[in-house]
This record gives sequence, C-alpha cells and structure tokens, in this order.
Amino acid sequence: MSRIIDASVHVFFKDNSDLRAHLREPYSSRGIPDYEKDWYGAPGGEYVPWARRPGTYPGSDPAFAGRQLLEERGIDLAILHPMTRGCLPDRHLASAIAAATNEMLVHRWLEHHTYGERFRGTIRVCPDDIDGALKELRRWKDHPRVVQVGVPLQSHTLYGKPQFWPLWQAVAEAGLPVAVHIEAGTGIDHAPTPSGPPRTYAQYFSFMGLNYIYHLMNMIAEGVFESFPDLKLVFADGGGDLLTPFMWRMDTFGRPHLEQTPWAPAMPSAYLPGHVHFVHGKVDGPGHAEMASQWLRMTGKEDMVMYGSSYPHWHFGDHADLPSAWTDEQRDKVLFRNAARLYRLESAMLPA
Amino acid sequence: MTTLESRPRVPAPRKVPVRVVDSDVHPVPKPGVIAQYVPEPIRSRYLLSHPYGDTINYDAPDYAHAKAMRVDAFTPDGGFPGSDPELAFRQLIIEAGSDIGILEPGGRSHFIPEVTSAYKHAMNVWQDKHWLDSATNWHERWRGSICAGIEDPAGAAAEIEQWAGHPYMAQVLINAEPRPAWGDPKYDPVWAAAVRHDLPVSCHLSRGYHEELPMPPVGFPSYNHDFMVTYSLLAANQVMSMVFDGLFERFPTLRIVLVEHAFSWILPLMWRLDAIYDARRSDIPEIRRKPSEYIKDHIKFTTQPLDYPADKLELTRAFEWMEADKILMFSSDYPHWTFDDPRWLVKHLPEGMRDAVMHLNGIETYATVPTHVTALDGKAFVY
Repeated sequence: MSRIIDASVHVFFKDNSDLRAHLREPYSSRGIPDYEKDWYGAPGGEYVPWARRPGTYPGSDPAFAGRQLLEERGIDLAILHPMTRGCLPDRHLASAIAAATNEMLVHRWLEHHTYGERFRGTIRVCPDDIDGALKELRRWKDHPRVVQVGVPLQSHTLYGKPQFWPLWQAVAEAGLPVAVHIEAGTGIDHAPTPSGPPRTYAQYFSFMGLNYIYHLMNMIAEGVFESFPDLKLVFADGGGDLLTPFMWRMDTFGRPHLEQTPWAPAMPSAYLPGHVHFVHGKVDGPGHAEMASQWLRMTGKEDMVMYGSSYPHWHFGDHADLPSAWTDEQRDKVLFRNAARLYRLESAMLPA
Repeated sequence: MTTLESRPRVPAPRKVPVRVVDSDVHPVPKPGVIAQYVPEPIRSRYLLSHPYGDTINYDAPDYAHAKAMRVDAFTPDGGFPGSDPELAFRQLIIEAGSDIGILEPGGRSHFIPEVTSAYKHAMNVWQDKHWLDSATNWHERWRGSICAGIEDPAGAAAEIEQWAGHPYMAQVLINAEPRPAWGDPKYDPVWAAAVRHDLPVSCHLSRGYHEELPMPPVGFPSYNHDFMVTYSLLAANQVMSMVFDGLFERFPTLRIVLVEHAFSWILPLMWRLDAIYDARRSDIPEIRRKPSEYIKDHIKFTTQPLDYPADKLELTRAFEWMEADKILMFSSDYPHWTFDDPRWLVKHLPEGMRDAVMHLNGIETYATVPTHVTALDGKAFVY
C-alpha cells in the first residue's frame, strides 16, 4: 500500500457571513468579491459535482472533505491551500482577508478533532503588502501544522523583483516553502494571456497556469536563489511539463547573457533542484504513453513533482489516474517522497 | 545547326536539387531608402514627423557594439547587417550553404493600424525593387514575404491581393504581437486572402515598444534573457487561440508558420491541449479534432533558436516524440547574433528527419520555392 500526500487541497469559507464574522471593522463592512469569477469561470461550475452539497460551499466542511479525501480516496495527509478573494487594489483589505482566512484554516481545519492531525496548512499573505505579510507570517510560522505560505500567481510585477525579497527572506528563514497558485475571485489582474483576454475557457485554462514561467525565469535571472539559498517554491497549478523546454531555452540563452546578470552565475537549470517544485496537474504530461517515465526524468522533474488533487475543483486529479508507465520509484516520489521531504513530513507518516 | 556552331561554347546551367530552405533571413533597407515607398499622407504625418534615435530595450549581449547582429555581417563601409544583398548572398548561400533564403523584413507595429499597413506596403515595394529584382536576384535564391499589418485586416488582405502571384513572393508575413490572438474572427479577411492564394502565413516576433510588446499577464521581465525565453509563451498562446477558437475549422486549408518562437515547448503543449480538449470539449462543440491533429496539419515551426539540453539524447527523443519531421522547418535567422548555421543545425536532427526539416517541408509549405536551382561555384555543402 503506497503512502499518499495530497499536496493541493483547497478550502473555503462557508459563505460571506462566515468570512465577515472573521473580519473586524472597517473590513467586515467592505465590498468583497466572491470566490467565483464571471468571465474566466468554468462553464458548468468550478467544482466537481460530488464535492457539492446543498447549503455548504465545496471545500468548506472539514468533516465532509476529510471523509471524501482521507477515507474514501486513501489520502494519508492533505496539504490545505485556502483561496482568498482576488488580488484586491486595497492591500489592507487583502491582508485582512488573508488574516481571516488563516484563522479559519487553523482553527477549523488544522485543529479539527477528527482529521486535524492529517491536515497541514498553507497560510495566505498578500505580497503587495510586505509589512502585513511579514506580520501574518510571524503570527503563524511556528504553528506545528502550518507548513507553507501561499501567494497568488497573478501579480503586476514579477516575483524576482527586489520589492518581494523581504518576504522571500523571511519565509526562507522560517523554513517554509512558498506556494504560488491562481487566486480565486475578481482581482485587478491583467488579462490572463500575453495577447489579451481569451475567447474560450479552454484557452484560459490552458494558458493561465503557465504564467508561472514568467515568475520562475525572472527569479532565476534576478539571482533570487543565490540570495536566498533556503527559498523553496511550489508552483501549484500544474504545468511542470513545460519546465523542460523552457529550461533548455533558459540554459542555451543563459551563457551569453551572463554579463548582464552576474549575480546569477550558475547555469539556470542548476537553480532548480531543491528550490522548485510542482503540483502535478490533471492535464499534465503524456498520459499513459510509454515514454512518460523517461519524460518525468528529464530536467529532474521526478524530484520536483508532487501529486495534488486540487479538490474540490472540476479538474480534480485522482492518484489512480497518474501515468501507468512511471516506475514504482517515480510513483512513490510523486505520491509521497517529494512532498514528505519538502514539508518535513516523514515523522508524521510513521506508524503510531 | 550552323547557327549553334557559330556561337561560343557555353555549358548549359547545371541544375541541382534544393537541399536547404532557410525560413528566416532578415534583409534591412539601407538608411533613407524606405520612406519613398510609404504612401502619403502617412509618410509625412507619422513616419517622418520627428527625428528619434535608438529605441532598444531588452538589449542583447554587447548591444552597443554588435546591435544584436553577427559582427562579421556589417558591411566594410559600416552598413547594417542584412542591408547588402551581395554580402548576404556570400555569407548565407555560398559560405553557410543555404539554397533558398526566405526573406522576412522586420518592422514593429505602429500603434495606428493603417500606419502599420502603409509601412508594410513600403517593405513589399522595397523587396520587389531591391532584393527580388533580376539584377539582385540573378541567382534566384531569394524569396520574399508579403508583409501585412494584421491589426488592419482589410489593409492586410488588400496587400495580399496586390502581391499574390509575384514570381518570387513565397508567403504572407505578420507580426506576432498585435492583440487579440489569432483565433479572433476580426482577422478572418487576412486568412481568407491567404487561403485564396494558397499562401502560408508566417508569424514572426517583432518586439515593438511601450504597450506593443507582448504583455506578460504577471509583469515584465527584467533582462533580454528572461524576456526572450518567455517570448515563446506568446506563440504558445497563439496556438491555443487558433485551436480553441476554431480557426482551422473556419479555414481548413490555412497554413501557419511560427518563426523564431523556439519549438520544443510544442511537445508538452500538445499533450496539455489534448487533455484539456478531452476535459472541456462540451464547451467548444465546433472543435472537432484533437488539438495535436490541428497543430500537425496546419502549423509549422522554424528551428532557430535551437535550444538543447546537456544530454543531447533528450533532444533526439523530443524530436521523435513531437514528430518533428511533420512540423519543423530549418531557419538560420541570418544575420542576427543568434544565427544557426545549417551545417551545425542538421547534425542535431535524427537522420531520418533531415530531408523533411532541411528542405522538403519548406518546398511543400512555401509558394514559388523550386525543387531545383542553378548550381553555384564554390558553394558550401551542408549535408
């Protein structure tokens, strides 16, 4: 029986009154977007039908989600990653919503009487508000079940730029990885593709997650991993497959440009091991093709990719559907070892 | 018979098979030449309305000296690389060994669509008079591109109509940056004109400045390094748009060439799009085939820049898995600093794919590219 860590489970407030009950004034009286997007929302709804129940929001009930994932689907440990309400123009409001979300996450989920010991949490911070983010980090970083810090994939400025460095430094010092994930809600985001708004959800979904490539290449060129050797990143929307061609490109183009970026002297791909991780997405990879094992080995992806279901989203990925051509060792790395090492969960998985 | 015997004995020109079709060669007008071909009033009101200097950002290494060019491609009197057809002929055809060069004049978009169209028109007149004329193209190795301002669909279609049928025009050429992406129906007149004349449409990155750059959704790169690497995402998104917006359902004979956007990303992207199609096909009922099938039937990629891993066997595998012989065409990018020599490039291709990538796909894709050309003395042998 293999051990399974689900590295991407999304949790939510039950409804707006639940959120507002976790906010203080003046924030509890503010206008706040809901989780769902209008344009760019998935036709048919964001969530798998079997995670929906009348009267509760999907991913808002720890007992129900715990039963569905930990009991019915054989997950041993779940890394929870709460969504917030968009990248908001008012950073104070965004940080207040992040703080409310973290209180809900810790008290409702991580301290849950039945499943709490099998949940680990991602606290949310607003990277446009460095002071607020550092404060939120200080509040939660020593909680034994907080294992990660979450930031939106959406941004106006790439994450390699120095304005974010105080956050990366503090997170690295706290020993917590940073998970980058597409934010829910309606924010002040740029169009999701470099050519503007897509006309179909299929195109939105195809491109949106790949925006991590802009962040990653910029962080490499800016020398972020030289400055913060303990910084660990998780790109949590899938798309890790595209890493291989883009790193070939980054390496090939890297040597001639070294004179412009002497602070990042190593080959770009040398900055990946130990720093960069991916959640495996449902639409990643060649499926059950025979070469899937060879492909996972390229660029060291077999040591970077972690299984994550994205529960309760429509693109829920079942661990039974992972490529059949992977070796047993690759399967164990993706289902367990990579996440156990990153989140230091080996001891939590020992038999009682 | 007697007439023939009275002439001096000249051997008949020897025809040799085309072995290398070079899909990306950049000619540049000499200073002051292009303005005369831009129609008024746009010439005076926009292009010559005020002086301005270099507009470079995201500079290639050693830009102040090399200008992102092969330094040996400047002419002896300091002329810009690509400005002298004779030097280009010697360096690319004779010395590097390309047989046919597909000319792709650069040129950013100009904010006002009609201004772009006027400039593109001038580039076409200029190619016709300065590169494709019989005095310059005596060797018949140059093929031109019908430059079209896609952001002005009616103007672009008219430009295609004007030049289609030219004996040395091989394709339509558009910039990669105008928004929205290519699947939007506003561009249909351009595709319709191209299809009507059985011309492929090549899409080349053209940078631009200010908000004409590709607009990364999460922020601008810092350096030419991360800028050029992530430029490929623009083309990846164009592929998604063309497939999911049903462009190839509307134009079943349309052929697209994505030039200088790199290509190895298409391998995982085809898997991704096929998986998304499986998951979301009820949203897009007009899309009737798997994305990878549309891609292999309708889109070609050019080889330069060839990005390669430390373990070259991985590249070989990628060529095989993506069926590179169906989707790739050789390109050198002469005279840019990132020039890929055909003799170097061909060695990276699996042997069984070399003919397809180096010339067969080019001959099949482009208009007016012959299977045989007149032999040239001293020309380099590629493979």
